[in-house]
Amino acid sequence: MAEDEGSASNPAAGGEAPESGVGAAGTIPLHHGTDLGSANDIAVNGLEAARAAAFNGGGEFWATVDVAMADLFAQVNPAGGLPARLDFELPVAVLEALLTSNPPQAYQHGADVYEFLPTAFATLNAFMANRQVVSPVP
Amino acid sequence: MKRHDPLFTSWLVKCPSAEESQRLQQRLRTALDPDMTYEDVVRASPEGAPLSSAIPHRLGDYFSDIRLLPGEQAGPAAFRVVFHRRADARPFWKDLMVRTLQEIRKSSPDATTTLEYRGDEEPQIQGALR
Repeated sequence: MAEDEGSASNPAAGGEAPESGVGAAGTIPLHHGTDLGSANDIAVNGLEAARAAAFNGGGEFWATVDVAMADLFAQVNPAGGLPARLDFELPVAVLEALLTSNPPQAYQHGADVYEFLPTAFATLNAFMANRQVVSPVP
Repeated sequence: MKRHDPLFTSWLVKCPSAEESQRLQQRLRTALDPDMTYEDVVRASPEGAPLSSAIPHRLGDYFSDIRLLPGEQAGPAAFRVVFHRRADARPFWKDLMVRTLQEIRKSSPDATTTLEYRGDEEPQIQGALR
């Protein structure tokens, strides 16, 4: 999980913008540390609840704005596979919509980490842009 | 693939100097006390109504011990941090470990942390410092 500071207004959602690395185009760069196979699978096929649940009971998907933090998580990936980082961008308005939905489909942990529940996966799959897999990680 | 979290995770920390290594270890001895607690502040805003909760996580509930050990061949500017996870630790153990490693990097930006070992057998490193 992870962080950065920053702010941007989000008229579409009407709430507070996430506290991190908001890009000029209204997107937030996020990073997910995992193993190479999983990173490639998400990059190509997107998130799938059953696969996520295989690695954690709740089946949630975690991402951070902190690249170094994602790299650390990659190194201790539960599959024990080659560490990798999935980088992607998410529109701030989409993140806001997930955080403000009722019930929430995402939670922010601290300033830097986002937890996405399986109910958010379809939205994430539709809006995750510029998916890139980085491996090995530093 | 099934999730398998190792009981032991060992990181090699390399500092710019032996003095910096000692300073960092001194700081960590306090930070790694089993009674130290990290608060995970969780936020969401369903229908625009901000919700926030602070969930405390005590190190000793996740780790049997966290040891600082010599860097051995890596020299006096290096040391190891060995996390011994409790068998019944909840998944947040990994977050606590990563937060600790981040504290090392923040406290000593030129220090590097490298994963050396993960497994269920205790790593064979001589000379515990604490």
